[in-house]
Amino acid sequence: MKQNHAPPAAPRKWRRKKLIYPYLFIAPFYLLFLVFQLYPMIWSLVLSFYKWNGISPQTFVGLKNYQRVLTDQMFWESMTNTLWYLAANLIFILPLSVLLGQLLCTKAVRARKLHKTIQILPYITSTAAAGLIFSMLFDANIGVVNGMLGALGIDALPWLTSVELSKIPVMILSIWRNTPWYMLIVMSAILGVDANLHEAAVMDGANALQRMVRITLPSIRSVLLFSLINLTIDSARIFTEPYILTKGGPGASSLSVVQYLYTTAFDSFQLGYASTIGYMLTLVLLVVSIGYFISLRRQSEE
Amino acid sequence: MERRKKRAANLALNLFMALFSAIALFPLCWVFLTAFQPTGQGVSFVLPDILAKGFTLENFTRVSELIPLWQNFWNSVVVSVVGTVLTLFFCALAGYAFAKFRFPGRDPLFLLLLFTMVIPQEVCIVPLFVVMRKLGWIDSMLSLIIPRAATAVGIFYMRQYISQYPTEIIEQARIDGCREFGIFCRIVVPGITPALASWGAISLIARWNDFMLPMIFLRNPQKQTLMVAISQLPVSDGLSTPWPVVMAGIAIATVPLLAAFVILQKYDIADLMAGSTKG
Amino acid sequence: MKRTLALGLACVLGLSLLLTGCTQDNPPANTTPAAPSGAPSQTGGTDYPAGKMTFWTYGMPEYMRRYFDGYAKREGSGAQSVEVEMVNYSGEAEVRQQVMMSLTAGSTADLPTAISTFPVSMQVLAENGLLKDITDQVTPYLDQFIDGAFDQATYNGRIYGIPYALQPKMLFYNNDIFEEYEIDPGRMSTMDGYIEVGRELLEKSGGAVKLSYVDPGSYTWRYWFRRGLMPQAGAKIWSDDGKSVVLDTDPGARLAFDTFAELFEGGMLYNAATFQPAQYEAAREGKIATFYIESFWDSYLRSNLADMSGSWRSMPAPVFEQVGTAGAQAIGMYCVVNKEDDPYTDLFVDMMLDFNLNTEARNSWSDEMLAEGLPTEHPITKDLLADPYWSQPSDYYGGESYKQMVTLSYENQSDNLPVTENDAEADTIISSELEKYVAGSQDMDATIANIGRLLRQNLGLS
Repeated sequence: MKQNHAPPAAPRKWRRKKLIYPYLFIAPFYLLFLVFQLYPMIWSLVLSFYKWNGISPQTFVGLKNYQRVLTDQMFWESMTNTLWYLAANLIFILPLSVLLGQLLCTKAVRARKLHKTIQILPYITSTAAAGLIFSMLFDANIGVVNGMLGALGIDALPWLTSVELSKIPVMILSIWRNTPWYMLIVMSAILGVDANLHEAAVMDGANALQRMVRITLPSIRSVLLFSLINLTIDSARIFTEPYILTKGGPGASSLSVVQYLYTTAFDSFQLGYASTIGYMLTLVLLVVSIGYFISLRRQSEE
Repeated sequence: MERRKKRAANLALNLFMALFSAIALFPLCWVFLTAFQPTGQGVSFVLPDILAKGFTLENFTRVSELIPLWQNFWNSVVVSVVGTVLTLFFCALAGYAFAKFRFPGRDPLFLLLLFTMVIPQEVCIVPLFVVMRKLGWIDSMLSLIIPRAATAVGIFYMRQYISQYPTEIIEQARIDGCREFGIFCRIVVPGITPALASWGAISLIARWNDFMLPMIFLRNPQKQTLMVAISQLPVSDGLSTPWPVVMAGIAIATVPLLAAFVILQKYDIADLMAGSTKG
Repeated sequence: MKRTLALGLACVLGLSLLLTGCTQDNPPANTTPAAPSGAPSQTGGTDYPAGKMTFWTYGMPEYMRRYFDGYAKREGSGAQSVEVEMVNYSGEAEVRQQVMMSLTAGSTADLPTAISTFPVSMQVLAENGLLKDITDQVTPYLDQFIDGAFDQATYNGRIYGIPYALQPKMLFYNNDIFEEYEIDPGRMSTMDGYIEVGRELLEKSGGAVKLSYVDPGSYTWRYWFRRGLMPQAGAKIWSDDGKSVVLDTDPGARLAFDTFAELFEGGMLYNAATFQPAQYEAAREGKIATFYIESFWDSYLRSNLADMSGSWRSMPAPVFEQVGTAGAQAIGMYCVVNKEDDPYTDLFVDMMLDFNLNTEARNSWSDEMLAEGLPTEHPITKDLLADPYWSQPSDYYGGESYKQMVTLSYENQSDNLPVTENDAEADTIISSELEKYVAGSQDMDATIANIGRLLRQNLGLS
């Protein structure tokens, strides 16, 4: 990477006048941040200590909302579900994107450009539209998935309507739709890996797997870490997938935290409590992110 | 022997790749198989059945009767295109400032920016709604366009890209007497077209497909974006819509972007998109 | 700004004066012999100011709008220059969200003239002075409505809403199936008979024909329980003062849950999401023999299973012999928003009264709707019900009069469960546990116990 800063050799007067520009240039973001993020966040924090149905006057309840959230079975179920979704995304999307990204760079694979075009399509399809499609594919009575299982002699499974299975279609949808994006990022990183390293490894008689583990993965470590952070934050906010596919049911078996927040605020009108749920999620995300940032810093120090 | 083994391995690789492409493609193909089916006697999923049933365009007309389709379509276009252009401009501007200027408070400000990425907007959805209401932006596309006119991620991308841009050219222009804003418009912007194209593609996809915020901010059916309107097709308190009609709606909502992407593929949009995250 | 406000106020004042004074000397435009007292009608000469009268509603409002448009255009309505705008939302909850958010932002000016809502929200809104008390305007017409029509629109003794529909719980059955298996549908007039028929159908069809449906989501609580088995078994969720939970000890609730368990565990219910294609498909293929559901199901049958015309019949819902009443009705009602400067408030009340009382206009509207396969509403006033139009035979029901069946169903209704401020959240909790039961992950005893425990814990009740 090149030198980041403008050289300091400039007349003083000119520099002072110039100083205002960068602030002007970055001002829009911070202005928007103040109005649309910081202000609502502070308000939300205040709200989390109140009981309010949006119509009657607000009543201060102190820490009651926080006490309640700690013992709220549905909240913890939604938190567990969200962690399941997060885990599934990390476990499947990252390895798959490395695998597919590598294959897209492998000369032995034919029609690579065609494959790339096709495999990126899920990412261009919206989650909402894909959710509707999947809800029909996974329908227990007349869905295609059960139709195929039937052809293989397997009994129809209640994908969307049983406590045990309802998370699976949500996970599959999320993986289907998000893998291509990470695949592209990884592919581009792999293309940037120094070819000489590979040649040297081939000379040493290393096989494909060994080259992957010893050369490719270490070289694309920063991209993988970026993907990991991005994927974590995105997965923690999962909403559309369960909202469209299962409405969070049956029971709360596929409910995500953001979805529970949404229902609490907009269906049962407990705006204070909804803010509390939001802050619980933020807390979890903060802890995770700080962990990531620390490891990121440690890595960049190495 | 060695050769045969290699050949088998290659075949396996190709088959494997084909499998993944099939998985990516299958749900989308299914949309089209269903969208043209007549609705009269239920839906079938077996290919011969589907072909035997014939072909109808009626579902598409039905969709346009159920929702203000073209209005919704137009709303989506405006939100996506205007939103993307604005976000490109402001993100590039801020990215440029972070990459090429040295000013007091730069590093803490940048750290703050990174930090805002972590906090999900959904957390303060209730106050955010009230802010929009106070601004009079409920049922207005401004509620989707303005707040994201400059995003942290976008600025981050732009900064990464612009910092690789040679500083000497900018300095030269400055000495030649160009104004700072002029430098940005005439020197920096043309120099970072790949980054603009890639980030533009990413924003466009994200905005076209956006769901939760439009659902909350745009309540009047006339004002909704296409994705939200389509998602309410299957059932609302008063009607239930046959699958082929829902599928026709999905086709209308997804095809424009898919088609644009496939056509633009010869410009390697995918590679560009991927490239933007380098560094 | 001040001037428009003053002008608006003057208009409202003037109009309300005229309204009380003029109904007598200007006979309503559409008085019919069946409704001699008729609905009040606006006099000519004093027109409402030109502008837009807005409603927030849900469902398919287009069909109501046609009526309102017709009313506004009618000679003598005084509303010729008023445009009717209905904003459609996805459900009752969303309408309430809209109201709530407008209030939060302090922009009461964008509230509409009236909103369509449910009792639970109506109470909260009325409590906070957001709905107009229309008791005085409506009282003169009360005795023309069927008994109890305004029960759910009343809060603390005052009336805040005008119902336009009181959909009773009914039983829709596929007559072809009953003929094929030679079962007398009349046996389904009691719950015991209903269950027996369910067993017989399973047996005779080798398990292929299920008695009815079950929804894997929240509709099961809403349709089978809240307005179905619960009220008709005389069940209670709360103690009479609303301060404690009795659902898990109440014998009526036990009866309701046990009855459902018998149907469900006996394999008599076809599991598919309500209003979704798979359920219609199953009904079309003869896998579902009956629907125990509110009368609105009529419009769903007609529009989604149009090809089955002649197959379906309807009858009042089965009753528990020991109680004797069928399920409770689902109310559709409009509440007037309490806005001082809204010039259309009175116009709206008149319009709604006209909808309920004007036989001629209502009948021709209904014909128009049926011809297009759109939903209609069954009348809820005595004179209209007595009109021969409302006992005509229906083609879709093979010549049997669906209309007559709705009227018949009115007579044997249970009262709705009383609504408390906790009911919105209680619905979420109960439904969630019930969904787990339907999904097979807990038995009925555990379900009931969990509901009781969670209600107490989450709502802080005893």
